[in-house]
Amino acid sequence: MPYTAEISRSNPTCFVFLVDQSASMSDPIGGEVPTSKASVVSDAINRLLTELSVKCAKEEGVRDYFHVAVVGYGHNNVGSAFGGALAGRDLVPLSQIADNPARVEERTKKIPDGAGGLVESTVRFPIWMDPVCNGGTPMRQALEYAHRLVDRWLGEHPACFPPIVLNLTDGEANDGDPTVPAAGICSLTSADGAVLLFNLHVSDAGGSPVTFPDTEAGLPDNYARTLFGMSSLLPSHMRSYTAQEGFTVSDSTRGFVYNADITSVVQFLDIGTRATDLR
Amino acid sequence: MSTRRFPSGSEYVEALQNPTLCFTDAELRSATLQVDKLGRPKPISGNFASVFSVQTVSGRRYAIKCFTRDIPDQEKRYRAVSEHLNTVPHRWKMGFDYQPSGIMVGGQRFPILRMEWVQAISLIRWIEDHLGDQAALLDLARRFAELAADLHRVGIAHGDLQHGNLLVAADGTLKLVDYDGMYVPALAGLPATERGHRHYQSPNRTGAEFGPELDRFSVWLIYLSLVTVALDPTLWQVLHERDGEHLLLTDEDFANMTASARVTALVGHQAVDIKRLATYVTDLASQPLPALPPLTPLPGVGLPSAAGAHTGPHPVAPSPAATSAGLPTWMSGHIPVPPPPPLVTFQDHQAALLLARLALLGLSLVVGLVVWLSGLPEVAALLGPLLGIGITRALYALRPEPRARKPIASRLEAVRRRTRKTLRIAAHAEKERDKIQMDNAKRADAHAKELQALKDRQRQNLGTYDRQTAQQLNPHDNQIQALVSRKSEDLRRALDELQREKVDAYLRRITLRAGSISGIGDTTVARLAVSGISTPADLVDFDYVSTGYQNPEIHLILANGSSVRVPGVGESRAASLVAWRNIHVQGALRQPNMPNALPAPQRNAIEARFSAEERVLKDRRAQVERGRQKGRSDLVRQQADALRQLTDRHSAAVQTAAQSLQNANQRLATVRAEHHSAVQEERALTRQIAAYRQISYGRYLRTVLIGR
Repeated sequence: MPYTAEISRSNPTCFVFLVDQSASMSDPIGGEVPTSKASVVSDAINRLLTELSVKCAKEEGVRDYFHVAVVGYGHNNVGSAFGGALAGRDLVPLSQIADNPARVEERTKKIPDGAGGLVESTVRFPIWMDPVCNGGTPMRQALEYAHRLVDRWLGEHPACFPPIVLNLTDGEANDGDPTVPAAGICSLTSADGAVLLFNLHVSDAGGSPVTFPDTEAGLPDNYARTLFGMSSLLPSHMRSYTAQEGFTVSDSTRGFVYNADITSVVQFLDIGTRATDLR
Repeated sequence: MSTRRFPSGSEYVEALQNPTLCFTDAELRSATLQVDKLGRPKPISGNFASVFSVQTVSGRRYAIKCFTRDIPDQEKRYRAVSEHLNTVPHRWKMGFDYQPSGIMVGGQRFPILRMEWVQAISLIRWIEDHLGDQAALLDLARRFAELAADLHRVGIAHGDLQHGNLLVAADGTLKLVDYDGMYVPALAGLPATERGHRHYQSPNRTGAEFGPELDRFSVWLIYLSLVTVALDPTLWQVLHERDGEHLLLTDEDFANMTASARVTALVGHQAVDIKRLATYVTDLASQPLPALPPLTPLPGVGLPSAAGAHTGPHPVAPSPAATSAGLPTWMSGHIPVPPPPPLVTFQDHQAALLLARLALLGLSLVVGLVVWLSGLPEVAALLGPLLGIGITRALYALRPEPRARKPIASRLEAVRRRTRKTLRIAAHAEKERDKIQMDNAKRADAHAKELQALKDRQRQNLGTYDRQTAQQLNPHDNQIQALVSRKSEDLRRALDELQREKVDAYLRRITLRAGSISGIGDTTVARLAVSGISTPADLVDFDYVSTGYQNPEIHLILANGSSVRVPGVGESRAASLVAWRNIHVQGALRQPNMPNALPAPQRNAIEARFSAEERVLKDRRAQVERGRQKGRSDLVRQQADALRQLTDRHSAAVQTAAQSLQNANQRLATVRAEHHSAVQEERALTRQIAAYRQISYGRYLRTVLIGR
């Protein structure tokens, strides 16, 4: 049965995040306080890395269940988007990521005081990458880059849980058709199944947020439809997890999210060897 | 089932940065959280929860468990577990307190479990710290069997018995933690909340079971592992993967016991206890969970024997010196020394003394006289005393005291030589033994490395083989998947078709009137009617049409596909119209006469269209898979053979080495015993001879000359 390999220190897997850093990412999107698409995306990356680190934390520290690459594309080039001590590195063991954010920010937040009011308080928030937006959108090149990283990883870890490539973009590729290299990534397999390619589409085209749809009907534009088509089908245990979260799923549900939260992909992963729960 | 979305691990980390705000419990609000390198609360995460360590102002330490997934009836479960555990006195219990709304995250309250902090280490680390310490490992096996018996007696099943939930405290007691999936009799009838650690479950545990028998397989498996590692610690290196989340066996082994190289190593082991237990557990894997018997520990294995049986850290052979008849050397100092033998002096023997005096003085006088008379040189007069001395010496030698002393002295001399010689030989034997020991340690290290290298290589090879298989099957899977999607698309379309007529008929019965939609009055209704829109069936959607001016025109799309611009209908009215239509479409779909599935003949017809193709695709895939499976089982067999050859070679070498070490120790023991007895004898003779310290020729001469 595919997608059942254990994720453990002796059998780690990898995560490749592809981050669109093109000029179009500076456009603001919705909300009461307009934010640039680039900040939405870098925020998502920082939260994903935090979530992964917390999930893999044990008594002695964060375990290397994953090796993670954050690859930026824009400015007509493709490469590591880590800041700080990890700058320039591709796949990094998770423990090193957890210990080496570029900086830790103190953010002021208004949080409910439990008595109906709000209180201002500060929280520490680790930052690995800052928003960048510049130049074109070499998405095809980025996918090819991810392909090389994952292929090399699979040579060394043939039996791992299939690596996950997560592309965060506004979808406006300008170096050719991204669907071909996307299919290339999905044709790579470990012993446990094909590599998973997921897409987070950050867009100012409007429409309601969509999480893990099973049809392209209802998607606002061609960019969204292309990214949906490039995305892998969710493996069955991820589907049931999505269903538990209250979303409708079917055999055709894909790893695609439109203007919505993607951190749930981390919850998809059953780390170590605990079997998934039964509900 | 509707489930509530729970915060993620990092959301808890964020909330816990302000304990005063997030906790409900007053003691926890003022508590301090343990933080990580970044100064944020340090989590210990599992797949269902993250645990944080807090210290209260009074210095008490708790573990706070925050749940990341909703568990149905959680409060009821914890209450039942708590009540049941209150009735049992066991030492392995861990205290906890379930707080149904203990923490606030993002304005909502969620449960926490406040737990007693257990200072202990997890089972795998403990085993690795005690490898080779047979007594300690057997003792742990015994304690584990007691714990299992406790659980069985009071009708409890833990549900997830595994190394992470079995901790060993500093005094060697076992602590059982994590009661999330625990079964107690009061919970009978509820579903299980988890299936347990994959490397500890019977292949027959479906996940549906929730009863007192949940742990049966895990219990046997853990007991087997502990006993095995105690009796043959080398198996830990052979069977346990470095950093692996299992003890000796994994789920792959249980799924196919007969094909498993690991199981074969246990079942074919030369130690009878390992062989017997392993065979038994293998047999259990094929039985349904409820049929499994509770653990019955092996008689004589790990049972508490006479007091002190578990005190020594190593089951080492008794120290060689102690095996000899005498006391071990280190004890000599503690043994009371017997009183020294009485001092021997010259017996008063007047006649002999007189004879000696006469001989000495007489001879001196006689010889002196002769020399003087015969005119010999004066020097010759010395001959007299010399002769006297010679005779007194002979007389001295005839005395009983020197005669008794002499053999003692010569024995002492001989034994001193023996002491020196045996000491030399013992030092040499010890050096030899140490060298063998060092060689053995080096060899064991080399073996472990060689074994690890082989296992790594094999894992890599098998993984690569499986990867190639997946790579070959992937296109087939994609084709099958595409076919399935096409089929479901066709089915959906056919159903849509079927529904559309009925939906259409339903929509046609509804007429647009002024006031049906807020903001659309008589004029607009009339204009819409002119464009052919008077029921929801008449329009589908709207579109923006660019005019070259600043604002695009709004066109309504009609059911026949054409679009029309209606004066007075801008973006907001168009959107309202489409929303109005959609509401009625939903209403239509809810009608009782609306078909929600295709009639069987139509469905079968569509499926038949795909079935031939599907069969061909699946056959092709199955063919590829069969070929690969054969190749895989060949590879697995080769690997098992290679592993067995290596371990056989190693164990032969280990046996030879053990033999030569034993011989060396034997030699050392013998020579140490010889040395020891020589030392003892030397000491005894020294004491004996000390009694003769007044027996010497000098003293004799003095007595002869001056009478004392």
